[in-house]
Amino acid sequence: MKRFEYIQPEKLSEASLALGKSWEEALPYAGGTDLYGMLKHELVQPDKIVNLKKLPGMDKIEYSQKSGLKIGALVKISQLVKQDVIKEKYPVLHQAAAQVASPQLRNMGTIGGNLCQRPRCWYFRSEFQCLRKSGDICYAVDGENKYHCIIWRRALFHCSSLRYCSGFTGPGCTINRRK
Amino acid sequence: MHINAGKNRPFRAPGHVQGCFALESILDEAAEKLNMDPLEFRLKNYAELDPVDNIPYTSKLLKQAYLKGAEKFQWKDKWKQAGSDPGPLKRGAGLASQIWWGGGSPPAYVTLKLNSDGSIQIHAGTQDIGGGTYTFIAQIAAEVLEIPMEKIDVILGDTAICPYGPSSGGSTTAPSVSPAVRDAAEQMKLKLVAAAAAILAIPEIQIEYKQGVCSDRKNAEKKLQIPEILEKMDEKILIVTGAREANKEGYAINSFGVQFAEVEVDTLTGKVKVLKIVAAHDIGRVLNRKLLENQFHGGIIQGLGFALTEERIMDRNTGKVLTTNLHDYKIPTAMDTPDIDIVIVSEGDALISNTGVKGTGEPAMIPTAGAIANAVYNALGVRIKSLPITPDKILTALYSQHQ
Ligand SMILES: Cc1cc2nc3c(=O)[nH]c(=O)nc-3n(C[C@H](O)[C@H](O)[C@H](O)COP(=O)(O)OP(=O)(O)OC[C@H]3O[C@@H](n4cnc5c(N)ncnc54)[C@H](O)[C@@H]3O)c2cc1C
Ligand code: SF4
Repeated sequence: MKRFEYIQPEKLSEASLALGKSWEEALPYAGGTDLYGMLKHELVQPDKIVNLKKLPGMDKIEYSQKSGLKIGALVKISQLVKQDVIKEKYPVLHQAAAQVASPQLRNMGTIGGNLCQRPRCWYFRSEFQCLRKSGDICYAVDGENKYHCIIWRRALFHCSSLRYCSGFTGPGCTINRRK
Repeated sequence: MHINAGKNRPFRAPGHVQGCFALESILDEAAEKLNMDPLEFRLKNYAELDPVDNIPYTSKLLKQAYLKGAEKFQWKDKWKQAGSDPGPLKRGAGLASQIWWGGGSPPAYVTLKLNSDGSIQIHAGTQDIGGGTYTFIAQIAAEVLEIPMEKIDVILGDTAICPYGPSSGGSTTAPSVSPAVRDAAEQMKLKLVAAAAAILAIPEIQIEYKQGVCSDRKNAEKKLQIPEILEKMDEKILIVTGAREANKEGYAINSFGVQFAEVEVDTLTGKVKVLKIVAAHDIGRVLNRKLLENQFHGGIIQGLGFALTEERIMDRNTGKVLTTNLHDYKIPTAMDTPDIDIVIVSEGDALISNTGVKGTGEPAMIPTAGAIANAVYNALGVRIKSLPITPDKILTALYSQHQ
């Protein structure tokens, strides 16, 4: 594993500064449930890791009739499940959140991390240099894709491994085949 | 045959799990062609002699396993006309039988060292990969010498200091090692009795051995504890080496068993839920019921994974394996585990060894997948001919049936 600098900012402005402009340089770290695996398998090799956990005010869920639901990026998936307002007003979100992974992962995983997690595709997670890893082909299209969702739409593939996402397909990987 | 798919790797009961699924599926098909209950079909074709060499088995209690297992499972009520439930949730029952070697053999040795304080160390050049080797070795010595298990230390896993023992494979550890332990413990008992007889100047036959104490049958006042015996012998320790005896010629040694599975298949999603497994086996003597259940639960859950979820998926274009982590290669969890009942129909098999043990590790897993596959057929009336039986295969099979 490549050496990296570990930064734990306490202000949003410090975090932005630490994160800089490029994903190669620095990566945010929330629950770590996805990031750790990515680091371990050397799918990402950032110079810096910026822990978001101490940033204030990002772990709140707010609801009002007028402005609707606001979920902070550091809200844990298990927190979503516990909110009555979500259960009542957003039952699909509630149901989906309740079924993500396992209790341990729901207790660690945040909504921000969930939406920004990298594709769960088995090509992506192993040694294949696929489109999402700046290669030139999507191996799933003509390969093993029984758990993928590949929709052929104007030369656009929306590919994401749907089996981990019931209800909301956030971490999709939308790619242009004729890249 | 060489294929470009990577090497094979160790697995419980290699070959038999796969072979059992194929064979037992075919037997089910044959029974159906003859319009017979699959259990009745197997009972009718029961082999009393080893059909390959035409020799008797040291013991074969498969028939008892069929009958007792069927009763426990309520086979008569659960097995039905294939695919007869109206759905969309369809239940079915299936069975599959198992044969394995696992009688153990020489060479296997242990050394048993008795210290002057009455504590014992047993060295055996085998290992405990979770099957309970430490426990049964101490247990057998404790039983023979009537000494509490806390006084016995078992030292395994180091071939530099332990006498030769078998590797952990083929379900041979307990059947090979346990007789050597009993042999060593019996020898030690004889040594103590002989020494006590000499010290008390009475014939050996007049010595009663009880819980580490040797006493004169004719005069209970005259008795010797282990520390006293060693002191009088002017010894600090006594050491004996026990060995596994040879297997009898002219007999086939096999373990047998049958497993019954009840499943519920959701014909809308293709998901199979295993509701119940009854495992009825002839595995010789049970050394320790808790360890036995542990082996069976592990084997059955592993068999369930092999039947339904564990799949090595290889990329068809590059030949690379894609399911390289436990996230994509699904093993069953507690949530997938059914109710499991274990029925043991055997006592010790005196023709095998002084402990009469047959191995359990692999027999526990062999028939599970075959039984589940036959139960899935019984539920659906459509046979899935490859494992694992994943929802896509079920839906495809159901779909083509209606074409
Ligand atoms: C075994 C297993 C099963 C799973 N099953 C499911 C499932 O069924 N359904 C499902 O939806 N998910 C599933 N997941 C994914 C899981 O939900 C995510 O790993 C989790 O939500 C990520 O949150 P985290 O806070 O741990 O993110 P991290 O691991 O900390 O981060 C994930 C990614 O997002 C980035 N990131 C994190 N926070 C932010 C932020 N605030 N702003 C910008 N970028 C950010 C990180 O740099 C990283 O690239 C599963 C994961 C595992 C390991
Ligand atoms: S589906 Fe996406 S992640 Fe998977 S191989 Fe294709 S481009 Fe890569």
